[in-house]
Amino acid sequence: MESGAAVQVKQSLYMPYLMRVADRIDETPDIRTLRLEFQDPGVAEGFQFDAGQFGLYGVFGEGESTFCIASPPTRKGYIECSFKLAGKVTSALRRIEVGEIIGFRGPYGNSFPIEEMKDKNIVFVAGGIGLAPVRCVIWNVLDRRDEFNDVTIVYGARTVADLVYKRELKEWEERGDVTLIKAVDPGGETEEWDGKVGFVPTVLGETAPSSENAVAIMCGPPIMIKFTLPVLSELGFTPNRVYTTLENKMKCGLGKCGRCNIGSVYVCKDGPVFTCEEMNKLPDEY
Amino acid sequence: MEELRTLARELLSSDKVQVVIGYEDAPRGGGVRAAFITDPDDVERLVFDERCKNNLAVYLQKKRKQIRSMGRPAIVVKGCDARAVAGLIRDSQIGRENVELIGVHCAGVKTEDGSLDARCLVCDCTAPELYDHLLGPEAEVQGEGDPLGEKVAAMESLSADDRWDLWMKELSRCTRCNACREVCPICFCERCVQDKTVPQWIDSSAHTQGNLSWHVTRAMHLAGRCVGCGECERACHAGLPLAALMRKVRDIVEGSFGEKPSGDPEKVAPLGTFSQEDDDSLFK
Amino acid sequence: MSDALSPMEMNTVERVIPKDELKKLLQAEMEKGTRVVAPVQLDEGRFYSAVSQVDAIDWDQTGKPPVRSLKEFFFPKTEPLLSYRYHQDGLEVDPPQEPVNTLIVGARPCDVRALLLLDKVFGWDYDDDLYKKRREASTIVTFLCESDDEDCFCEMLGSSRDDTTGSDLFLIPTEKGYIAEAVTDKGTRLMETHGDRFQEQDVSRPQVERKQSPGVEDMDALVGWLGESFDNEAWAQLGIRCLGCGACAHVCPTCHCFDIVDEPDDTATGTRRRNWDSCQVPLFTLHASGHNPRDLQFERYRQRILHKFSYFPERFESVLCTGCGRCSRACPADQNLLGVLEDLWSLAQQSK
Repeated sequence: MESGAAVQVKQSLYMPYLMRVADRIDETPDIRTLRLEFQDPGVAEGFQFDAGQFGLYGVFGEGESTFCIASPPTRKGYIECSFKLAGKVTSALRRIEVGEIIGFRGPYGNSFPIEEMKDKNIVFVAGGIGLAPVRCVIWNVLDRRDEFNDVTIVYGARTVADLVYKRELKEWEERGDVTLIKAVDPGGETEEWDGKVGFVPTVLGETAPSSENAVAIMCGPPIMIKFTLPVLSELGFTPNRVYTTLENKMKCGLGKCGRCNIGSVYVCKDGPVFTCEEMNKLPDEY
Repeated sequence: MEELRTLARELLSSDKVQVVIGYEDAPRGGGVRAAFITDPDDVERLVFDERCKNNLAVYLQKKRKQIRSMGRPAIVVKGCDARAVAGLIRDSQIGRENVELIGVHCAGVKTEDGSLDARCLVCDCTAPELYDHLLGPEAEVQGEGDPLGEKVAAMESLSADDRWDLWMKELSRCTRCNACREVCPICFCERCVQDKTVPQWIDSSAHTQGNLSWHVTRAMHLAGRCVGCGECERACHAGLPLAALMRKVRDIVEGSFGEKPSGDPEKVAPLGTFSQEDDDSLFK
Repeated sequence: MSDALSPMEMNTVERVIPKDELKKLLQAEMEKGTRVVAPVQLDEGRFYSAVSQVDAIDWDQTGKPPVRSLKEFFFPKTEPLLSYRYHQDGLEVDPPQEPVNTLIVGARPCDVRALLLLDKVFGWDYDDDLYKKRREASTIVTFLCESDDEDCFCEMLGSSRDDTTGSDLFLIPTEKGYIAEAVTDKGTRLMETHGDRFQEQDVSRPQVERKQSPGVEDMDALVGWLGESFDNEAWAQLGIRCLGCGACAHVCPTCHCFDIVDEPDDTATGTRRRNWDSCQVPLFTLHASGHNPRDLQFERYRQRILHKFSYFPERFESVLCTGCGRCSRACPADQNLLGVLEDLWSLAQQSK
């Protein structure tokens, strides 16, 4: 799994790129997306990354936080991140307005094996904010649509209000070349809701996408992962064809601060993308 | 010692307690370390003598989750340790009925060079004040003097500028390892003030300014609750004069409120209450 | 001479620097603006410290090494990563300052070896320029160690009191002065710069006896066993009394975990810093959600041991430890690393 290259030789390893906030979108009451443009035109021109990589987004004076890069590598000049309000740094990020400057360090980590997914069927399974890293891969695939076979997306959230990227869900629904199954948990539906009602693992089981010549890419809360894995297994997806992205508490993002390891595996260096086969080998400390 | 082992065996066999927290020989170095005995057949490991410097009350804190999960504890306590347990009970960190106190008469603990620890020379609780069982012969500390008090007096005799310079020099060696906090039974907060980020009350960085904020705040938070066990200074790898700092705080509390560290959990902490009789000459 | 050394029978011709010449060398360096770092004896213990006077230096190499290691001169306990300034036209972000030329004298071999291990982490794929520049700006003069301390176990890890690995210049005491061995180009340059202070002399090199008890006879085998030991029940007892402070990590020459925090000086300016941290502290792995992957103390203690003696060797072919014994001396809960390794070794042998 290749990692993208940072273009600018920075003055110091921990110096971030300066990013201008170009847009901020409230996905849900507590989840926001920021679109960030590189202040330096040279960086904007040459910045590359691979789907699945992450970065550290920082408000100077408050701190940094780790999120995946939620926009696809096929779109140049900007990156996007989506985050849930959780603490000090995410609160500060929410106070940032369009036009203000924040810092970005990255891209770090490994990535999804896009090239190996060519000519295959891809099943995306996501829950809640877990759609953010998956969305990066979805658009990466859709921007190169004819290189891949069937695309199925199963996505759910607790309630209709908790669905992220609502405008894109609509886009995917309206495309003829994607099958989107959207769902909300029982009790989360509104009167106008036209999608499924049920937990993601259940809905996935009912959708029953074929595992023939297919890979699965999933991300969501731990409880969703726990119940989705057996469903995928039953559908015939072997652990080495199911990919997920893990998160762990991070600070440096580049293998030096010693914080994110699960056993001998560093989430920031050996991950954050793992196959289920690799995940099964991890000791129980995440 | 046999008394202790017999009692421990009885407490464990009868399931009155599920773990005995005491001291055992450390496998290397000739000293002692904390022991957690759960099997009545293991009580031979328990020892008590002048090497037993640790204040084991720290293991009763709520944040010691692994110890808490072991069940109802019995704990070996010297006089100072018993006062710390009283402090934990007073601050609702453990119920009196949830711990079995094995008090031991103590003639003082020795430091690495073989001399009596400074805190022991001024000890007024060789017999623990709070206990369920009281073991050992009555003890008397064979030593005199108050080197800790003298150290405080020497610091106080310095001019304000010199005293500031002295403390800046001492504080510059601190790395914020938090050994002082973790070894203190009364520092039981599960989210310490220096770990709070919104707002960041105390800089977590180990520059002298951050170190000053931390140590002063800690001293203030412990005022009226510190029992003078001296563990903070023993734990500090950088040799900060923490026992002297806390001695000064205890002296001020005694001066202002007439209160000394107490082994009575019913007694309200001096800064934990308000009385009409409190000196308010501070307000002019 | 201390008990650790005894004179050899034979004399050899060596480059030797008498102690007062070495002092003058240091004085000359200080006058050039070089920061000189050396052991200093305080009431509270022996510490490596920047000195402003040569007389402040403690030359004694017997007994345990200084309380803390050399790492704080390359990876300080707190250091700025950047500074920022908001102003009406925008935001300025500046890199940290350049390091000062440093001469470390009186280093112990265990502390110098440790730097080679830190080099691996700070150079792993990404070059940590803050660390690297300090390394480049420093010359290290190591003395033959004369420690007899019980908590030392460098020999068990393949080193010794006369191990020159990682030093630039190695000095060995004799009755005529210090035998000087240049180990690297930096060492050679230092000798050349102060050439007239070094004289050819006929001296007998002291013999260094291997004195430490082995403890663990086969570290490679232990490392292998540890690779499969994560679920072993013994961990719950080995770490039971650990209080989760972090003193062990702070005094350790190879521990490198750090936190990154932003520290405003006022509403417009401030620094982003990195500070020493430790995997022993509960907060280390605590997620914002409240979930803690290492919730119990023994899980954190296991992490420490496995990182040093399993995960690090798996990647970098060496244990992350030089046997200096500081963690055992500093631990307020009387955890002893050598004791723990010996317990693990017993378990490893029983399981065969």
